Amino acid sequence: MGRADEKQPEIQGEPMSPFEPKIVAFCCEQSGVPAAEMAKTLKLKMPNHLELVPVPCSGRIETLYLLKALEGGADGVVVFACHEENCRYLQGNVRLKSRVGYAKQIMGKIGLEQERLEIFHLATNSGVKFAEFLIQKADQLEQLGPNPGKIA
Amino acid sequence: MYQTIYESKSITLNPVVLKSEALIIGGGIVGMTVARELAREGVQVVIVEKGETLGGGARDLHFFYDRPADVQKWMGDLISTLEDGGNIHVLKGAKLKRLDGQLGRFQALIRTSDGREKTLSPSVVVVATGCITRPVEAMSDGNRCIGSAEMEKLLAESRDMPLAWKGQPVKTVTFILDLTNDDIKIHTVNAIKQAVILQEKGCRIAVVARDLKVSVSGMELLYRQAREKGVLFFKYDDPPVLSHTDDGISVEVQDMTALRKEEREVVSLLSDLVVIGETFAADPETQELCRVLKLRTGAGGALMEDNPQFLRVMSNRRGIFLAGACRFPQVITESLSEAHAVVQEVRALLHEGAYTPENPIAEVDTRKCAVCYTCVRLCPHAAIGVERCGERNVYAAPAEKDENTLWQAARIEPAACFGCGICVAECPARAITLYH
Repeated sequence: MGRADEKQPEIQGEPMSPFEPKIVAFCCEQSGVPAAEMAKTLKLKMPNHLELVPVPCSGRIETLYLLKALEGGADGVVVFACHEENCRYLQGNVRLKSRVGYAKQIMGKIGLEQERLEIFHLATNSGVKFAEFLIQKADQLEQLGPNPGKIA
Repeated sequence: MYQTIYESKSITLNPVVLKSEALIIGGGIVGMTVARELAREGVQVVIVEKGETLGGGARDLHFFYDRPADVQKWMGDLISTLEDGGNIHVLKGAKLKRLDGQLGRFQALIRTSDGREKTLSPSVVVVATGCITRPVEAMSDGNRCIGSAEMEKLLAESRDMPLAWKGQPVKTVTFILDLTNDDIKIHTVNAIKQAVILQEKGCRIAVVARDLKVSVSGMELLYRQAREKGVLFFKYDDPPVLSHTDDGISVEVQDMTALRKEEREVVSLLSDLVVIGETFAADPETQELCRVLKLRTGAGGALMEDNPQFLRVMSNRRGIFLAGACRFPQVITESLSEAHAVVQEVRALLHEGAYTPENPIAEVDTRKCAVCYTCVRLCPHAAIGVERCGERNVYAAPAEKDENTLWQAARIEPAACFGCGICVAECPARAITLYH
């Protein structure tokens, strides 16, 4: 995975943004995936460098997945999970919360900004929220700059 | 766009044989309806009732809100069909002590009141234990202040005669609703139902409520009927003030019809009798039952929380269903439709005689398992147990385990696994894989 800022071509002489953040989004199949599909159907504006990873339940996501994504080139990791107490498997999103907390602790220790990892709770029909959140996250990551922890 | 993280391999799974046997816990109207419907389908049903009589909470009811029939008579018919039906076995004064195993292998231990124990192996367990009611203490002395169930009894006793309470004639009755359980509809339904009957007896009725909840089928109509007959309805924000007068109770409530706050006046309703809806609460014995059944409890100790991802009658374990007031206190009609929903689900599960587990399903690599019980504790569906694999306990590092040294390992029952992957993510030895 190459650095996004190194190979930005100049299109029609227009000055491109020097850095476009890459976001990895883990999506729970109960809420995040339908929301992503809805956002796609509605043709909503979404960040260019986006990778969606469907998981059966947000509880399936290991701490290592989150950190590996950051190591492997992501500038930010977002987890789309169901609202609390709405988990189809009852406590998957509660488990996720504790794991994200742990991952954030590790990130703090190695000097990564905590904003690079975030949970977003949404419902099946929140396609617009899904896209809006990703755009907002991309803006935030652009301000933060490239992820210093990635091993490209 | 998507990148999959599952193992691409899928495993074929053997179907689990399901016998046509059901265990119903609770002999209230919901349990009895489920039993009757299932027995009609040829399912062997055992009802476990902790009390000595069937009927449960519906024994306090005498009138349906939506039809003229008598509840007790209707229930008597239901009980008699149960007691002479061949497929139904009723255990009175009995309790479920243990439930082992998973779908298809349930082993239920039931202890009857005379100390005998009985082991059953049902395929399906239906929990219909109901809830308990507590009287509301609105005044220091309970004089002229009764609960909704007592009113029901008074009405049933004085069918065609004018209403009397402790020998005194009753001319005015005030219902006070929503002092507790602001979220349930039973109080509104009961009060309007009783108000219509009382109005026909020539009493003057007032209903004081925070919010009237008429979102039950046919209730809107009954409410209009009550208004047309002259029942007075008052809305309150601050609870009404009750005080004794010479010959009754005065209920003071602020009239909310005026738009501006300063124009609101206090209305005093002089009444011979005040009816206050009881508090509905989860049965404390439900906690014990949940421990036995490994079910989750929601707010206030009721069974399961309201989860939009679930059918209302589903529990967190496959093969165990919930219905009626143990889940949420509700009007008879709603409880009965929930009972029918359970019957549908049970029928769908049992009709093929076997349940074939579907992918995704998690599987433990027994060689890697260190028997730390993390997955066993975390599984929200109680699908994981630890089983013995060998004869003796030989210590071996997980990497060096083989058939001779393997003693114990976690095992995920495929029929009970929902495929969420929580255990996969949590396993410290990374011994669990989610097959898709």
